[in-house]
Amino acid sequence: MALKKFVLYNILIFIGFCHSSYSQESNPFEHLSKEERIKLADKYHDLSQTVYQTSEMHRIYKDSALLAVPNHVNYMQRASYSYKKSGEHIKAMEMLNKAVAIDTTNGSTAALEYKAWSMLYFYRDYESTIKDVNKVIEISKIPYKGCHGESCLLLKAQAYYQLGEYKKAIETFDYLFTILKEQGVNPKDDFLANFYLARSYFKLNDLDKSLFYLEEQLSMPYSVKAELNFYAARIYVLKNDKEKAKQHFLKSKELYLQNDKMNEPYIERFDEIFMNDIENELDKLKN
Amino acid sequence: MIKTLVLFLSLFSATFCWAQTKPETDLYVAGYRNEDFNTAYLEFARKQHDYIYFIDHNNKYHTMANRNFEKDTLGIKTKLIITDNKISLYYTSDEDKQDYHYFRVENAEFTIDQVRELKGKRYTAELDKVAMIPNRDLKIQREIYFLDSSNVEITHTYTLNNTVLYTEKEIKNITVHSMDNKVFFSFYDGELSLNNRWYQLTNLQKDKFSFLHYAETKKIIDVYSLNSNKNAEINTSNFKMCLDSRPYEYYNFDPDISYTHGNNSLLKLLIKDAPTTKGNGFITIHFAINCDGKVGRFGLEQMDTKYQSASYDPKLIKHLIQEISKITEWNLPEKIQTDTHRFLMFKVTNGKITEVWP
Repeated sequence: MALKKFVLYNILIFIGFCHSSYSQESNPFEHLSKEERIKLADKYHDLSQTVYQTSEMHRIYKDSALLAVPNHVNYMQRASYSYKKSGEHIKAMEMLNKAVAIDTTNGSTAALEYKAWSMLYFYRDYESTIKDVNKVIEISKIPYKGCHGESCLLLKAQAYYQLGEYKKAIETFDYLFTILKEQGVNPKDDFLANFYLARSYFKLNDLDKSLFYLEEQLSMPYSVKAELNFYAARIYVLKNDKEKAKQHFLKSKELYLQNDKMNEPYIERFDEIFMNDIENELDKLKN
Repeated sequence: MIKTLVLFLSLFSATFCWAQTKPETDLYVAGYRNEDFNTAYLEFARKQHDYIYFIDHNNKYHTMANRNFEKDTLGIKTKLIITDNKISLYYTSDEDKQDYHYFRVENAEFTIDQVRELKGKRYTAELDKVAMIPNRDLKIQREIYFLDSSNVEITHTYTLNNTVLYTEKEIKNITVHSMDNKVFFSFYDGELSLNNRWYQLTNLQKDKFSFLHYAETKKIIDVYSLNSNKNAEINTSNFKMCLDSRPYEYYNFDPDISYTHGNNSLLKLLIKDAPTTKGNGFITIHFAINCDGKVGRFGLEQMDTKYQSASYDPKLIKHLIQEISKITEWNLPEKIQTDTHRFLMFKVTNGKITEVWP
C-alpha cells in the first residue's frame, strides 16, 4: 500500500512539474499588471528596432512584445514587416490578417489601410486591394483616406488599371480629383494619379487625352519626367510623328541617366521604364 | 509490477543525478559575432576563475578580466554576460558596436584518428534552409565528400516532391582541430581566418556523424548519414557564398538590387517555354546573389490566393529555378563585397505565370 502511495506521489509531482513548466511557457508575463505588460512590450519593441529587421533576433523581440500584450495591433502589424520584407509571405499574411481582424473589430482601419497598400504593391492582389479600400472607406466614413502614405483611392484606381478595367480606373481617378478640389488641392499635383490616368486613356486608345495628361505633367515641377517622355513618345509613334517620338525617347534617355525616373524602394512601380525599353524603341524607329 | 516501476524510477534518478554531477567543460566555442547577422567567427574561449581566455585558430590567446568596463582609454564600453552555457561580449563605442557569442562545447570526445575514417566517403544531411535564405517547401540536402585530409566537395541538392530541381557544388578547404579531446571542423576558401566557423563533431558512428554549430541564437545539429551512392545531379552549378554571414536584403542598397532590365523583361525571359501548372496563387523563389553576381542557395514558398500553403507542379518550379540561376544582369553596386538575399514572386493565374515582382 505504502509503495502504491509512493508511486502515486511521484506521478503527481511529475504532472505538477510538467504543468508548471507548461504554464510558464504559455505566458511568462501572466503575473504582471496591464501597465507593466504594456511597458514591457514597448521595451521589447524598442529592442527589436536595434537589430536587423529580417533577423531572428528582431523576430524574438517582436514575439516577446506580443507575448506581453498579445492584442497589440500596431506591434502585430509591424512584426509582419520582417516576414513580408524577406518574402516569407504565409507568416506575414497570417500576422497581418490577425492585426486587421482585431483592429477593424475595434472600429479602427489603420491595419487595413496598410494591408490595402501591401495587397497592391507587395502581392499584386488587385481584387483584395479594391475590397480593402472599400472597407476602409466604409468603416472610416472618410472618402479621402490615406493608405500607408498614399491615397487609398489612388491604390484602388491602380488596381482597376492593373485588372484592365480602365473605365473604372478613370472614374476612380476623377472621383479622387473631385475630392482633392473640394479640399483646395490642385489635382495636377498628384503625379501618380495623373500618370496612371494618362496610361488608362492610352489603354482605351484615347491617345489625345493620354497625351494631354502626360504633357500637362511634363510642365509640373515635381513629376517624374523619364516615364512621361517615354509614354508620350510611344503615342507619337502611333500618330506616325517619328520626329517628335524620337525627340521624346531621347529626352527620356537623358532624364533616365539623370535618375529623373520612377524609383521606389522595395518594389518596381507599374509601367516603370528601364534603359533597355528606351533603346529598343529607338532601334525600332531606325527601321 | 510496482517493484519494477520503483526500480526503474530509482535507476532513472541515479542516471539523472550522475548526469547532473558530471563536471562540465570550461571550454567555449565561438558561435558567431553580430548576433543578428550570425557572422562566422573562429575562436575559442575558456572561463577560468576571474578571467576569460580567448584562443584563436593559431592557438594564440589573450585574456580579459571577468567583469564589465564602463569605458576604457579608447572610449570602448565592454559588457560581459555569462550564463550557464553562453558567454556574450558586447563592445560599444561612439562609432561602432560589436558583439561576440561563445557557447559551452558539448562533452563529446573523439580523436583525430577516429576522424580519419571519414576520408573518401560521402555523407548527406537534410537542412531546413541554407545560407539563411528563407525556405518552406524545398527539401535541401547537403552532401560532404571528404576528398582527402585537406579538401571536401560540398554539393547542395534542391528537391520538390522527389523531383531534383537543381544542384550546386563547391570545393572547400578543411581543417580539423582538437581541443580537450573535442574535435572541431572548419570549411573555408583561401586561408583559414577569424571569419570562418567551427563545427563541433558531437557524434561519430560507422555510418553517420553530427556537426553542431550555432546560428541566429539557435543550437543547430546537422546529422550526416553515409551515402553509398553519389546524389543525383542536374544542371550542377559552381556556386560559393562570399561571406559566412546573413546576406543583406535586396532593398538595403540604393537603388534596390534587381534585374537590370525590369520586371516586364524578366517575365518574358522566365516564362519562355515554361511548363504550366494547376490553380491560382503565388510562388516565391528565394535565392542569394553572391558578391560576384552569381545566383544560388535557393528557397521556395508556395501559396494559394488565401495566402495559405499550396503546391504547384515541380516541373514549373524547376524551370523557374534553373532560369533564375542563369541570370547575371543584376544592378549590383560596384565593389560590392557582401552577398544579397533576393526573392522573386510569381502570380499564377489559371496555371500560368502572369506577373513577377517585387
